[in-house]
Amino acid sequence: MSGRRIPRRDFVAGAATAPLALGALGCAPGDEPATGQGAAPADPQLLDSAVVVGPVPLASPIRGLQAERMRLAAERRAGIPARVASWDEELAHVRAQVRGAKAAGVNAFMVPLVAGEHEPAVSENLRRFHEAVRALREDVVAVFDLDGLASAVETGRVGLIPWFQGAKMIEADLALFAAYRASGVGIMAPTHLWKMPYGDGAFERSDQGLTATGRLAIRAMNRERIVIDLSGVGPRSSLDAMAESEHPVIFSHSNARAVHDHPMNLGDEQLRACAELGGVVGISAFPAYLSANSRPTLDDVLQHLDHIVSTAGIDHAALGLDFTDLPRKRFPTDPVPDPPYRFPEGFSGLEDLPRLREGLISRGYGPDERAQVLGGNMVRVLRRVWGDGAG
Amino acid sequence: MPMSRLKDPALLAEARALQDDILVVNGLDASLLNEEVVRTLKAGGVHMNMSTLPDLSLSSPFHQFMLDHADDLVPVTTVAGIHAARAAGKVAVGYCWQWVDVDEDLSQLAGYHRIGLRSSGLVYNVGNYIGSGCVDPNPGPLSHYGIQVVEALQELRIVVDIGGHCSEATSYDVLEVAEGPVVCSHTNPLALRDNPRCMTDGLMRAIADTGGAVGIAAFNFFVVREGQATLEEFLRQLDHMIDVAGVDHVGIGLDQIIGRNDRGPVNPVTLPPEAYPQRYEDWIYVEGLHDFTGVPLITVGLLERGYAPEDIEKIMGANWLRVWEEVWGE
Repeated sequence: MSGRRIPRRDFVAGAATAPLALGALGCAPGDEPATGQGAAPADPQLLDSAVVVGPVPLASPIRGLQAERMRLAAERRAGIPARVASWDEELAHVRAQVRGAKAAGVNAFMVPLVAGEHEPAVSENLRRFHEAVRALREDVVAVFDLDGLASAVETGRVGLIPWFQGAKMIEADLALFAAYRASGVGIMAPTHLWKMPYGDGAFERSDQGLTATGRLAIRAMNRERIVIDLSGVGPRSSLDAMAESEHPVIFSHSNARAVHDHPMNLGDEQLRACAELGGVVGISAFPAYLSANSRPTLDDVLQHLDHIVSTAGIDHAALGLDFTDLPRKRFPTDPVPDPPYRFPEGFSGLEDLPRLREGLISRGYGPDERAQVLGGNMVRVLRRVWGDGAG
Repeated sequence: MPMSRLKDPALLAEARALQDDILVVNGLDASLLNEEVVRTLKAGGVHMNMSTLPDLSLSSPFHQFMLDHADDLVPVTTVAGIHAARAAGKVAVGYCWQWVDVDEDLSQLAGYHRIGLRSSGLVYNVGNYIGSGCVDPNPGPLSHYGIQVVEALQELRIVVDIGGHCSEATSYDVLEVAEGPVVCSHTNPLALRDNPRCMTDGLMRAIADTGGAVGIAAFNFFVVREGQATLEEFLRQLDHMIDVAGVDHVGIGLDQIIGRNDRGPVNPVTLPPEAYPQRYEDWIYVEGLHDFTGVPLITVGLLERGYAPEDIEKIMGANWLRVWEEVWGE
């Protein structure tokens, strides 16, 4: 049986670097902006039917130095030799990935740019992302706001939404939220899977709730209109964060504990609190979060969705998908296996989205409900937090 | 006893004479390094100062400061080095941290050990990657990473210091994970002063049970709620700590910020009002102990309270030396 369809390749962190010639950076006169900024205000109808999912890592080094470092370490342990890939090769992988996504009807997806990095690695990751977006501007649009999303939909390109998993680069210097928001980061998870100065992660030994710094961080993210992602945050810390937040929050890639009791998954109290704030929960297809079976199925994915819909409501279900080949296990007790992961057969990449559509139909989700799950609900949260249109 | 009695010139002379016979060690200083620190260490008869140097990077100004003051100060990484410094008529300076700041990259610790790091705290008041702090609303244990930090420190034979800034839950967890002596370099008894930074008798006993030691801080507001804390009130806390932990497990860790109290408002998150005055200008110390010139007053106080000279030797330094020798080796 086939594993992931996103082609695997090897990359040594820091080896592939974007060429610095001005032409390659897309600075030649007459270039249209690749960010979608400056486009006409978004047509609400258009966006309501947009397919917006994720997080799914890009098939390239621009997904982050730390992620690459962890992958290389895991491959070294497994005896897989590292190979240096060129920047152009890396771009080709991303191009193939986004074309596959587009063919499957994806309008935009969240892209992890940070998974535990500090500066200067964070800026390096941002640089790679922005350079790749320029280089691939015929296929992609960077999405920082609703205009960017509208531009992706209108021009038929795939929107890439930068996402930080863990605000380690900010810690107590909360003014930095504004700086990263201005760099295009519209969605951030305050903590990663483990303990951080704001609170505890879902894989931690304890879950003590938000710290004083954590509460201030939630307020700062509200103020800067950064979507707060609580996937991977411990239950109590996430409930504290929802009590503190004035805006809807998302759980970008979490499932239901009632279906599979895993630390990453959400109890009904969290699901209801998220719904009350007007947020969304994005279903993950990551095998360890789906089922205790070693090879879960698409049916398992739909079962989590059904529970979230019946507990939180149809307005609060979304698609996290979470198709990744990056290592997640950091400590021996972490409740995740090492890659390669066994995603449900026929459901292991963005290009497989039509399978999920079929599943929704077979489970009796009507056209409007399907549109909500596929992106409408997520767009509602983005609109509410980011604001509508320019400014 | 009244301050005037403690300042009796004959008693002070006796105390200085005793200090000349023993090795006087301050188990934790928060002053960083400056001229005032050097001057008062010498004037107060302190032979060894464990100095908090948050920046131990290659470009840290402290390296140049130590070079510039090589006539007065010697960086030390062993107890033998402390004795040698004293024999050379210089003040020994140890390097410590109050939390481990290596960006979750413990491979850096070996380098900092080479630079001279010999003692480290873990959490500073509020939760971090390692564990929870003493002012956190819902304190908890060490994190997965925190356990690795304790193990890495011990592997390198760097003293594990719960500092008084860790929460009680994290502190007990450290004692669970660590092998051998653990210290709390600077705290005060919660039984006599209800401040989140102060420590329960049970935890002090538990630290003593590891073979470690607890240092008493001279920060005014860990001794009294308001007003100027007297030396008598400070000595009463010291008596209590000795009663609880035993005379083999108590030292001084005065935690002064000599020459640094002109920095305006504090960060209210890490230094909240229930534990600290909100402006550094209001950070005062027990009477006479605003810098090291007052250290002989502690010795006088111990003499006056009838402590035997060999017990005073332990409290004023030998307990730290015993723990450090056990942890550092050599």
